[in-house]
Amino acid sequence: MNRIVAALSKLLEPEERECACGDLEEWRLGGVAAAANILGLVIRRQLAEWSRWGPWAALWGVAGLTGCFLSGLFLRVEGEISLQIRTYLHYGVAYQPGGVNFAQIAAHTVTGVIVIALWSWACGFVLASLSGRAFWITSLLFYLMLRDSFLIRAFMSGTIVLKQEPVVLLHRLLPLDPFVMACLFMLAIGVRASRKDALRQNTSLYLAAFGFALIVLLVWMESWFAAGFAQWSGEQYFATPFLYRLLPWLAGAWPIFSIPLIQNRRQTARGATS
Amino acid sequence: MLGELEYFILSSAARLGDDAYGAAIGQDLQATTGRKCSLGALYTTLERLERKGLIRTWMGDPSPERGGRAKKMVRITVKGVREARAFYEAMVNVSAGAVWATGGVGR
Repeated sequence: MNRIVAALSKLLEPEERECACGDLEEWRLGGVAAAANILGLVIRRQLAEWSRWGPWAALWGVAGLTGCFLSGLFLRVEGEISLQIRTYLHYGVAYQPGGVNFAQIAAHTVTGVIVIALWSWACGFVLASLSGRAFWITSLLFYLMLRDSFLIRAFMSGTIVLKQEPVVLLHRLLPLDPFVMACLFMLAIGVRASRKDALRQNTSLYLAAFGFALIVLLVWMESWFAAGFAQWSGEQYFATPFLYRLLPWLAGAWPIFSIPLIQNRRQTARGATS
Repeated sequence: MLGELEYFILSSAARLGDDAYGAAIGQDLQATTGRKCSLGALYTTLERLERKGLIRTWMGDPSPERGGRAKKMVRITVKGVREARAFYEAMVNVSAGAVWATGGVGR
């Protein structure tokens, strides 16, 4: 069994992999013919996944919508942390934009980090639950969205021109900084939690409630910066009302709130089969 | 109504009886129809047939000619026999009078 066939067959379920590889050996197929057969099976299995609603919900809802929101928050928090570190290293003081004190910035950053951690975990859980065999596509797109949706927006708005900044793209794609690695770690834990199916219904409800409270707190904290901008701009800046700011975030955080529903569905299915 | 490949696989499984499994069905199809059946087409059709309740599959014993790997055994169900018979009768009825069914050469 050549290496290409062995590598491709890893994309199949274990039982099917064993049967398919055994069949190829019995048919005395090797080389290109064997690889073509396995590749054909892998492609059919992948395409069959996309006939369900799950991978589409994972693609548009998690990788698309949530990835976009998480990308914005990710950049905001990463920027706050790096700005504080650079300001302290260069000037020996904390960075404080007008109208906002260091305690408020620290509270906002810490809350943002916890929201990102919980959000990443929830996205991993929901991606693994909904995607099935298409998980590798949806998770890759989620990662690219998380890292680069700001780049996509920047290219589309003309802020960055691709041929002038090719290095930027490469740098952003690689998980080089600790913050990204921490996000991926939480994502992986969420995936594992979904695959192990060990999360209790009560725990999922508490997590959803905790996530809701954190997002409300985070959006409320944004009003400190809005007040700071208003003060700094001489009352020329008017903040968006709290509810109008909160609702899009709650929509983007739907994976956190869908976990109790997913667990409920799993429990119902377990009850039906037992 | 069954599809063409679904009917071929059901016929092959019925003919092979207790020896019906993935690779054997593929070889039987090639011998009887003259067409190669790829692994992808075979396994996705087997899954579809099982989902419809027309066959039952289970993991069989490994064997040395398969490199010690198990095989996917196939057994046609009562519902599968009924569907295959309905397809066969429909084919016979729809082909009645056709030039290839009467042995003619056509114009």
